[in-house]
Formats: sequence, structure tokens, C-alpha cells
Amino acid sequence: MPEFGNSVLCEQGFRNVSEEGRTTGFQLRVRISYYRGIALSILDGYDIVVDGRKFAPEDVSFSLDGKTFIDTADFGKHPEIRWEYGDKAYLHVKCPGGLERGIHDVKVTQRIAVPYLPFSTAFYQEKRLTIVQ
Amino acid sequence: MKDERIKLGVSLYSYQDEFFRRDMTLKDCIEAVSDMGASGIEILPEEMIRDCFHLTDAFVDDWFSWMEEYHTVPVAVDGFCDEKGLWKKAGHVPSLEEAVAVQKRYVDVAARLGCKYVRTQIRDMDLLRAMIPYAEDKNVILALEIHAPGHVRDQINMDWLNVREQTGTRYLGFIPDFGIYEHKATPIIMRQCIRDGATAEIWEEAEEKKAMGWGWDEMKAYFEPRCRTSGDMDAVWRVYNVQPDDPKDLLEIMPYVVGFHGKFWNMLEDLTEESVDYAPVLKVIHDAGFRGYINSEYEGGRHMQDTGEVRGVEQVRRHHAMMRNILEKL
Repeated sequence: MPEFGNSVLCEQGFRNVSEEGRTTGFQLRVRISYYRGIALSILDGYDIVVDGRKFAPEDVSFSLDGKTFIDTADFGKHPEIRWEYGDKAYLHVKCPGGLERGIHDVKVTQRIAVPYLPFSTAFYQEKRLTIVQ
Repeated sequence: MKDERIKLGVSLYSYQDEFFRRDMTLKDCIEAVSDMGASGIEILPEEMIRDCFHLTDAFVDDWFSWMEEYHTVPVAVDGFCDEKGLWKKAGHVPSLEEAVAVQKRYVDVAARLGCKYVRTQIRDMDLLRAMIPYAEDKNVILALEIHAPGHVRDQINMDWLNVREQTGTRYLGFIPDFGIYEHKATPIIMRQCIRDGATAEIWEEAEEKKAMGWGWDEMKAYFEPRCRTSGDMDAVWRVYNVQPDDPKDLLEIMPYVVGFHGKFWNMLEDLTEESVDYAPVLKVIHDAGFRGYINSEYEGGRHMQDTGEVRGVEQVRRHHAMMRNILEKL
């Protein structure tokens, strides 16, 4: 279901990322699309689509501080890490060469295992966001 | 004053959009309750308090200074059942001690914030029994929410009553949610289903068939071949799931009701709720002598955030105007 008109996907922080001088992918900053802070092990994962191109879950990694990244497949290993409500986390997406400067259609679906529901809940947000560098 | 018998408050969950948009701080939310002449404060600590399981003295001082400033009263903390999810993906089944540790955190927060009860989602009777001595020690009641599509007479509530009776504790109670009195699927959610791909014709037809008394098997057999989109069957299920409870059933559990969730989705301009008829329920609980809090719980906003700016504060004000209109005539 669509969630929160504006604030889950952030304009700020949408940029290409480089390693050893080569552009290896891009970054998004996101808040929790839910109504409370949670332990990371409650998160199921992210589906990311940019300009119609879908990125594989194994190409997406997550960080709270922008320094230590964990694979989204490993969320279950981190019940001790708490993501505070409203804090902007980092999503890094592997995409050799990165994204071109300009406007992109970005859709991020956050899947979360709400403990009182029997199924995983998907919240998505779509936005046109600009890559500057 | 007659309407003083039932007290009015707000679950600050109702203001989630304003809070998330950073239009309002926690203090602003408390002020918004006070501004209506209401006094009860219910809070989801994990939503509005940073690092809520390690409350600082400075925060707790602020909290009580706000209560004093705005003449409000801490009433309830809303807890969850994260013990079911924290270790699930790792394949670890939590021990009773681990589950108790998760649940104790909510009791601790409630105790420090001066709240009388915790809305809990405990459905495991061993966990519930294990929590009782801690709740008693902290002087915080554990209260099970009776939430749609559930009903007052559900087995889980009877199980709770049995534990209450067997242990002799006074620290178990209930929070009936007005959502159990919904008489039709709220258009707020149904319109969201349509934006998500369901068709309006299927929605209308599902309401017709349900009104004719069809059971789920009949509904399923009829609609499955007719559903054209993936959202259609979800719409049928949502329509079917609205099975309003009989308010009189509350009388069986009223001595153990610690508070109500005044659930609503859409307050109309004539000050009625679009899918819940409050008057008959308020009459039952008024006549039964209930003197606790009804805390408004606005949930419509969550289902229309893609359509424009949600006005939680305004919706809650209309909700309180409606409840006052009804209560003053009782």
C-alpha cells in the first residue's frame, strides 16, 4: 500500500557511490514506513525500482550510520539493532556505473513482518528524484 | 456534569502524520489533547520517544512537567508482541524468559511514565501468567485489546478471564476497540483498495451479498471467478470481515475493562463517524457505569497518505465533538 506522501523516500542523499575511484552504485536515504521504531530483524527487505529497472535484493545493503552496511538478507541476524522512528537510514544499491545525472522515477517498497499480522506487509513510495553527482 | 462520568483522551497515534511530518513534537501532541479540554494521554513509546526502553531522567521530568502544564493525565502505553518476530528469521524460538524480557520493557515504560495500563498483544497464556507478578510489582495493568475482526466473546478473551480468575490478580484487563462495531467497511480503506487496483463494482456487490447474509465460503466461490484484479479479492475479504459485535456483550466483561480505544477512520462534517455508530455503544458503557477513559484512535490517515495532507488533529477534534454530543444527552 502507498504510504506517507512525502517523507519516507528522501530527496537528500540520492547520489552515486564510488569505491576506489569507480562508480559502483547509488544510494538512497529512507525513513521507516510504519508508525514506530523497530529492531532490524523485523524488516524483511526492500524492492527497488529505478526507471523501470528492478534491482535484486542481494544488490541492496542497509546502514544506519552510513558506514557499517549489512546485506538486507541478513536483517534477521540483528534483533539487537534498533532503528529509531524517523531516522534516515542508507540504502546502497549495486549498479556499476551508477545512475545518470538527472531526474529518475524511483519506487521503494519496504517489506516488514509486523509481528501481530500473519503476513509480510509491503509499503511503497514512488517519487521523482534527481541525481546531481 | 454528566459527561464527566466517562473521561475522554487521545491515543497520540492519532497524530502520527503531524508527528512524522515534523509539524508537531510530542509536547505539541499533548497540547492538542489539552486544547480540546480532554485529559487522557495514551502513547506508543516506540513512535514518539527516542530510545524509549532506556528513558532518561531528563525525559521523564519533561513528561511530567508537560502533564502539569497542560492538565493532562498519563493513561496508557501501547505495547506490541515483538517476541514473535525478533528471532523468527534466525529460526530461534524464544524461551519464556526471552519473551518475558521483551514484554517487561513496556511495563517498565508505563511505570516510569505514570500510566495505569499497557495495551498488550499477549496471546500466549504461559507468557501472560509469567508477566503477572511483574505487572503487580510495578502496579501496571496488562490489558488485551479487543480489536476487529475479533469480538468480546472470543475464546482468547475467555482465556484471559480464566487466567485472571485462577491467579486472583487484579492486574489483567481489557481494552475494547470501537472498530469492532463497524457496520460497513470504511470507505476510507475501500477507496485505498480501489487505488491499489480493486474495482468499485466488486466492492458494491460484495456489500450486497454480505447484507444478504452470505458466509465466507459462498462469497469466495462467487467472487473468485469474477475478480479481475489482484486487489478485488482483498476488497471482498475486507467487506466480509466487518462483522459488528453486539454492544451488550460488553456487560459480561465491563468490570475488567480498563479503557476503550475510540477507533475511527473518518469523521464527517455532520459530526458522525462514517462506518461506526458510536451512540448505542456509548449508551451501553455509560449505563454500565464505566468511568475510565475513551482514547480516540484515528486510523483513517494511514489509508490516505497518498491522496493529500492528513489532518489528524482536526479529525480528533471532530471525534471529541461527536462523543461530547452523545454523552451530554445520556
